[in-house]
Amino acid sequence: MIEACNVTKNFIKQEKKGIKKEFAAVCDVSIKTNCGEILGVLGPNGAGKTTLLRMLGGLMKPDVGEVFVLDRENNRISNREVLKSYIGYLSENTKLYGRFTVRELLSVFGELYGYNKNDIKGRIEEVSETMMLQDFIDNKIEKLSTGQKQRVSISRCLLHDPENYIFDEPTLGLDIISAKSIIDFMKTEKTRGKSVIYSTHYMEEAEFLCDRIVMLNQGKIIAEGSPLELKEKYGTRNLRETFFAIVEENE
Amino acid sequence: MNRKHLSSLYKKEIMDVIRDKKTLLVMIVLPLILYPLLFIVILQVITMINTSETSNEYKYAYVGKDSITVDAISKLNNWIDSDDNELEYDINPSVKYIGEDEKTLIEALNKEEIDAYIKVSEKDGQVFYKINYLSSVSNSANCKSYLTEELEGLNEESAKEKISESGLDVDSVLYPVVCDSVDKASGEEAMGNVLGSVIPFLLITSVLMGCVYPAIDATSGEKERGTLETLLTCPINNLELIMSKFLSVATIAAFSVFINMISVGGIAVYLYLTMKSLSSKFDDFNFSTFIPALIIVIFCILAFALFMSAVVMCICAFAKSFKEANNYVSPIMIVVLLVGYVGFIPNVKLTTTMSLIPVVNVVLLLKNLLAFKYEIGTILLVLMSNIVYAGITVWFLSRIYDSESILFGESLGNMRIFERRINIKKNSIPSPMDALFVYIIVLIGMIYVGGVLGLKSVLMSVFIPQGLILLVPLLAVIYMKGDIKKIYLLKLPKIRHLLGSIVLFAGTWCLTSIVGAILSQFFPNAEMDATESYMAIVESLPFVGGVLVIALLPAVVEELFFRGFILSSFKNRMNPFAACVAVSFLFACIHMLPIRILPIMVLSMGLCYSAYKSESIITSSCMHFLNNFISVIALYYPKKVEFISNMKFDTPLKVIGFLLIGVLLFVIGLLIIHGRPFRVKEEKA
Repeated sequence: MIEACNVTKNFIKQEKKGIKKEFAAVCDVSIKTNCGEILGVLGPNGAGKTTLLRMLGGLMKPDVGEVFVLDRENNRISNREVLKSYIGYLSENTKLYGRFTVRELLSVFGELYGYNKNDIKGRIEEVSETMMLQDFIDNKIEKLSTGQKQRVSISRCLLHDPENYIFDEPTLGLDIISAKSIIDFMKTEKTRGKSVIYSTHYMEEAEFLCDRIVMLNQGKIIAEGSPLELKEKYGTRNLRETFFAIVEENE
Repeated sequence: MNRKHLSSLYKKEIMDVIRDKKTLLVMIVLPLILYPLLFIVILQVITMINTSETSNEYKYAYVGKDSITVDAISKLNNWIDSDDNELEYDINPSVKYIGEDEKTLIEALNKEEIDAYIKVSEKDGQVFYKINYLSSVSNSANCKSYLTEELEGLNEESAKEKISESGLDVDSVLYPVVCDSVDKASGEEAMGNVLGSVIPFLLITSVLMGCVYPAIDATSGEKERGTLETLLTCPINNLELIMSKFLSVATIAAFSVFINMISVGGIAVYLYLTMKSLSSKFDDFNFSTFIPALIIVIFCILAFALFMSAVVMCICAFAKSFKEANNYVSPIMIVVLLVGYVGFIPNVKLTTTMSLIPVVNVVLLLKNLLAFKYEIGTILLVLMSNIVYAGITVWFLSRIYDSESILFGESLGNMRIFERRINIKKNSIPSPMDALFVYIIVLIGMIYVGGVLGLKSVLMSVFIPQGLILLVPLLAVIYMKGDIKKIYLLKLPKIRHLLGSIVLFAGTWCLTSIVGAILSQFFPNAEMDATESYMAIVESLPFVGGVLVIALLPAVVEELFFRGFILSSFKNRMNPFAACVAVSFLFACIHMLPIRILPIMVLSMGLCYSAYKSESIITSSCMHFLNNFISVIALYYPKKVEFISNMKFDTPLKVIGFLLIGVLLFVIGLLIIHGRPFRVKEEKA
């Protein structure tokens, strides 16, 4: 379970006349994921989704507030370094090392997640079987197709078998088959009791995949609930229309 | 720091770098192929030049047909063909042309039909041979040298004949003093001296070439490829990340040097074998005498590789793409290579001060080592200073990597100064790279323009650097359409800030005095070096003039540049503390007094804080003026204020007392400037 309590993240923006101005990319946001749940984070460009997910993933430090995960013994872990080992983070920006083979890459990341050499070998075998990497596990990543690279990215993410996953627009720019592999993976992990935070621009994808939706605009939560609740509340037929209704209402 | 993480990251970085074809090309292929190839080409060119020079036939003429001229020329020709002539030339001179008048010969010379012509005259029994030639034509110049040498031979021979005719002993009259010299240097020492000029430059170049591409690849290259964010999802901290990158780049740089040394070593052995076949001097040449020097050279190069890797990585970290990083690194490469030429300058000695100047220290130490000069203290000082500089740079690098705006946002770069003026928005603040560029221009201007013109007069040596510090950034700001008032912090300060700055200065002064006194214990000459440059001004100007020139002028001009222009650029994109440290380092460096870097940095930190918090240049200018004013008093009235000019911390009580007062004043100054604790109290009330 990942929880963010009243997190705020400020950046400095350059105004027109060279004047600096501080603005809150994320402002006083609190969210929490439950085990076996997919939480969708939606919002227009610049709403603060990526910043929020980076804070949740331990990549960024909130200026105000706290991010923590609960381990299996319900211990609260807020140290960013330790927190990262409880999370599998995948985004459009998390590219792979093209000069490495798939096995080498997984081996390096396995070591960084604290596995010893013998355990890494075993874990790579397990992951490659799950994600069907056997045919190209010893090929250089730069030679792989986009779909194969995506499968390697997911493998990198699940290598340490985290309890929580954060996916920041993972299907952006992917073909249907590659995108499906990610969606299938999220569904599988959900059934395994893992919590997934997922941000996307594809409303249809979010509508059938997410158990709960959090909508962000200008760094603030403007709506929260299950897709059904939100649709009912705004009297819309699908999540796309709900999204437009909420954004319009808030602007 | 987790060692396992560090070793995994290091392994990953090394794997990543050595699989990059560009790095491999620069690191292995270039040195192993390029150096021998260059050597062969240069050798061929030299041989060609020599062959073309020696195979020529010199054509010279003479003016007139009078008996004196004909006689003189025939004497010369006879001497050239004489068996007594010991000069060995592989040329065939010929008198091609005998001109009736000089005009015709000048035309022939200009058309290169002849290489020179001789005009003969006689006075009081002396025959004058005037050689006319063209220094712009190499064959003509060579012909002149040839004729000069032959005429000197003829002169000696004629003198000998005359002495002999008068019945005197030729040798005792002509050579009453005989000079002979014996080279006592061994072949190894002679070769070490020659290698000492070339090898340091080659090693510096190879370190630079070895570390630049891996550094770019590991920093901006990783950002560009989008793998940095992937790495940051792992449970690692910034220091582990930076250290692994730094160590891998330094390893690659060191390996590159190793490859270069093999390549250069191969050429040296080839040269040795060639020389051995030509000269007997190299028969007893013993390569093993170089082993101790080579071992120290390896350590020295390793320390330098650490330093250069850190510096290059630090610069590359600001770039967001490979191309941008390349642009940033180019000026640094030029500066380092220029400084590397110091090895070629004779009589530049490795003094204590020189031991602390980056790059220069390594070049001079390598030169000393290859000339078999081992001074343990200097060797250790050079090694330690490089390691310390590398440590400071790595720390700075870790601060840069702590900045989320650099990791995830835009780079610090974006140099507006190279953009077309029409595209630059009005009232923009220069970027840190703009500021660094201007700083480098000012520094180079101070070294070259200031150095040359400064020799002309004492005042010029002050006004030229100050003029550069004022004008270069001002022109840059005008070009970049910057808001002068905002960039230079031209604003009246609050009384609280002014008062706080004066108290802060008092504290800073106490602390810098202690640091200065401690340093002077280790480097007694450093203080002399610092004051020596001002003594000429003291001698030529009265006290008021001294105050204006030494205290007021720098207090205004340097503050506008450092706490105005540079600090405004840095604080815009960096966290305030890192910006202040960077500005202070640059400020300390421009004083060109390596020993005083630390005390100047301490003073500058106070100045930066004052300007940053008050947003006014007046506060830091006041502090700067007070500091300089105290120095002026000490320069003009050394005896009256001996307690300042010769401050001694001979007892622990004095040190602790002064330290406590310094810290107390420093903290009080900070609190007054900061002001927040007082406000909190007010709010509570």
